[in-house]
Amino acid sequence: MDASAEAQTTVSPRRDACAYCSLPLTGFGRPQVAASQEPLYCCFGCRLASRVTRRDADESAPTALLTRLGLAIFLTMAVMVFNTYLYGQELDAASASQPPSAAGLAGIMRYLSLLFATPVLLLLGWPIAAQAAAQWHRRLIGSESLILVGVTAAFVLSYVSTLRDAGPVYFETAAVVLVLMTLGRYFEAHHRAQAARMLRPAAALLPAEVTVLSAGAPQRKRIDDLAEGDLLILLPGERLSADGLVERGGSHLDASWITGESSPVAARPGDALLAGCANLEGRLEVRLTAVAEKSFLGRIFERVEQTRRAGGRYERLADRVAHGFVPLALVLSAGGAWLGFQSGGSGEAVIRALSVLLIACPCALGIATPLATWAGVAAAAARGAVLRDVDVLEALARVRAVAFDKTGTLTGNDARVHGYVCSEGADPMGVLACATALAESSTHPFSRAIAACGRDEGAGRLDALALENIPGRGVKGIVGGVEVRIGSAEFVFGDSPPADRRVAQELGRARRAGCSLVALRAGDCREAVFVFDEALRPSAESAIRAIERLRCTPVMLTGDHPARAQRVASLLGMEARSGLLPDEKLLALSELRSAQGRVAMVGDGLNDAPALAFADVGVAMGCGTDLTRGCASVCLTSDDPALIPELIAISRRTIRTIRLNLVWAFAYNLVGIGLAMAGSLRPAFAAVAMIGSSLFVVGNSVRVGKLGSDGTQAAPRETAAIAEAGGSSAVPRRPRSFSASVRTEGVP
Amino acid sequence: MIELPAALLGGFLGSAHCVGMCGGIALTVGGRPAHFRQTLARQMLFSAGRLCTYAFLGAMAGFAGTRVARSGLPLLTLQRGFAVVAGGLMVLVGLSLMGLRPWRVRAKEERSCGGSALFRDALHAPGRSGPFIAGLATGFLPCGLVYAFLTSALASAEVARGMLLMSVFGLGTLPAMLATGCGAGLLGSGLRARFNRLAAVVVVLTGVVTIWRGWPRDGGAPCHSPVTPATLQAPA
Repeated sequence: MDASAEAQTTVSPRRDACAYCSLPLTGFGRPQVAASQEPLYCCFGCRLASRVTRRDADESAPTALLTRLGLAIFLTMAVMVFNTYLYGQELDAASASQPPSAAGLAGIMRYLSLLFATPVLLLLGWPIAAQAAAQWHRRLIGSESLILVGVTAAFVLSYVSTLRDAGPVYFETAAVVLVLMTLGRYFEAHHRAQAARMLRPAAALLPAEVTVLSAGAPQRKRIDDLAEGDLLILLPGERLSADGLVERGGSHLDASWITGESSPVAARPGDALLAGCANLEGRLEVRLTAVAEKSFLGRIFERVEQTRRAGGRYERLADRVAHGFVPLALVLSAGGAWLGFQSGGSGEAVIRALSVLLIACPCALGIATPLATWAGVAAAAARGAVLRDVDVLEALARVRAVAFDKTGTLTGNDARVHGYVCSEGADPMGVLACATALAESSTHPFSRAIAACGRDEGAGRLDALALENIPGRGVKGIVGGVEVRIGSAEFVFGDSPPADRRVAQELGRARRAGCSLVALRAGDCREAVFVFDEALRPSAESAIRAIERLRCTPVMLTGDHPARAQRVASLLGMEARSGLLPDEKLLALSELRSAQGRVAMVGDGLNDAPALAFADVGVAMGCGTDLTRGCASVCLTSDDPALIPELIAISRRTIRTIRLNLVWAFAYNLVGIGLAMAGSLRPAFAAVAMIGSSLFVVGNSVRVGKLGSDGTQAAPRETAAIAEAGGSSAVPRRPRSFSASVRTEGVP
Repeated sequence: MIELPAALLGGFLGSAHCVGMCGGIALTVGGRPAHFRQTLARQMLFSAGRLCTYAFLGAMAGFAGTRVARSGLPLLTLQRGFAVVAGGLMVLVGLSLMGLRPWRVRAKEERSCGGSALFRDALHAPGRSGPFIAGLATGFLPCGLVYAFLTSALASAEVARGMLLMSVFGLGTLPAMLATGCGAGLLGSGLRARFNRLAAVVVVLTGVVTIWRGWPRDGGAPCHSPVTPATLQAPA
């Protein structure tokens, strides 16, 4: 199919990602794909943080790094104290009241500053230099190179001034900038990585470790290390992390994430289970048949991951701008240096250039889009919605009308007995009991509906003998000594009309109204007609109301009988267009588009594929395991219509956040650069402002996933379930903080 | 020169309170309880780190005080007014430490941030540098007493004096922190509260003295000011 081929090409471009925070790498130049297995980092903060946290690799690395950092902070504090004296000198110079020894003392202070600041450059300059070198190696120029140049220039100028015993000294500024940058970038990397981890749907759904039986003994295994054929123990409260077959034990499972079916599903030995269902009661031993990316969840996550990596329109825009920022920053800092030189000599020139380089670092710009889109994609995935690409988020956010197919979308596939009419003089309960006895032998939706009706009404139990199921027609059998037929009117009555007047009337009325019906005849005297209607999905009405609250127009487009469509539409309080042929649906969609704006089409993705492909956003419901319905841009694993307004709300929020982030990053850079060039922004403040801006963007993005459809409600059912699972499973290693945060959000 | 003994006393008495917050950190820094010498060494390093930060903060406060006092406004009364404001702040901080809060202060819960990750790493690092760095960081933790004496350092309007004042304050906190860190039992909570109250009284008294110093009287510069009227009147 064309659409699926297109989907393939959209997600294909994979970009290099940071080994620590997994954000895409940016910089100026034509990056070469790294030949070696050396991990790549997006900034030196990530390089540092990965060293501190990577305990298993080298025990001494974090300690050595902390020693460096602590020493540098201590030395910088000392340099700052020396500098207060020098500042005091400058102030006193104006009043000409300094004692004769003051000049000598100032010289000593300068040398002391030199002595204390030089180690800071060596201690903290190296990670920056290492990062710059790594980027050079890949033919990239990142912000590290710029900062290194600026700080080194400040040091060189200060050395020269100190040796000449004249001119400005900026040891303090350079040391403070180094310390602030290092600490700030470290915190920033930490937060970014935390955000990225939190925004990974796998982390939200699955435990980090599971228990497997190897040679009869339980053993903990990381879920990445699971293999096909492993025997996994699934305890109550745990979520299955791979597909498998139940080998021993019995339980009930919550498969709502996969099918949308809210009632528990029984699991017995021999049953096949899909990754993602949660065990509710007993202990199960599951022989794994598909693990990691081959499992059901794995395939979903793989698609989500591809979507994330590919990025969208906004991300390409931000990338392009960030790419051009490095040469621009160089030009601007040169401009700042020139301005500074005019007003305050070489010292001022270096300081202004440094300020511009620090503030012009496009870090916030680089993370403005990816983190927010990830949050949106992950929030969607956590609710069981897989997006084809990131641009779907933008299309969804702009949707103004939502068209629904009826059957399987707003109504369930299951039928419900609307009512039944039996011949005069016959006992309705007896007829129902008769019908139930036959219906229980069949799995046809109508049979199930009749059986359910019999149970609900409390019809007595009768035994049916000599049951015969005639596919496509009905069932016949012997109940209480008389032959009973139940099925289509043709099967039951043959060519002749029903003998009873009431039954014949009802049959005619139901046929005219387009209702589904089942007829019954017991012996020669008792006849009945059962009329069915489609059961609305429980959340259908609230979903329609929520869509209206989002100022979108809900419309039903169906090929079904007008009477039936009208009944469902009036129940839901929405407009309906019925009796549409597939190409008429397309026509209706384009009319809707010209009247309202962008249109989303919701269907089951099978018989309405052209409409889904034609709409601006095609949402296929109840995809279950089949995620490759190429025509749809969104696949919902479950068939809960309430997900539609939630998805629209999430995407609107995401797009709003992206815009806010981008505006913030641009505005901040513009204002900051202006101030720095004018000399109003000192380097230390520039460093702090830059980190603060990045953290703002990170925090802003993380909030996207935390809000529900109406913007205030928190924690979707999955995350609530995870919070429970996290509490009961023994190893909530990483997800722990996440579940904790979910819990607090639950409290308004 | 009453500030220095006051800072020492305030630090000493107040550290009974500090044990509540910083004591926990100190206990984490300590090595295995069996190795007393090792524990003591780590505690000394930890406190040395704290002292360094206090001294640094004092110097910065003193420097800021200098800048404010000489901010170019040729007013003889500026430094005095400054001292009065700073003294008033100290009295407020002291009162709030006593529990008599004229304003509502939101109790700050310990929040997890990127900083705490680094802090945790520093606390558990096995080497000598860990405790020292933890001490450096602890010195920056928000603490009412530190703020109170920083205000005093600010009012001194002199780098060296501010540094000295805060160092003395830090020295005052040493006995209780070392004792706690080395495993001596924490003081009973009632006794701690009483010590804390006393420390607050010391802070309030210091504040009152500072106000008194700066209070407009007939003629003369404030007692300890290095700034003569001539320097103040000079155009900056």
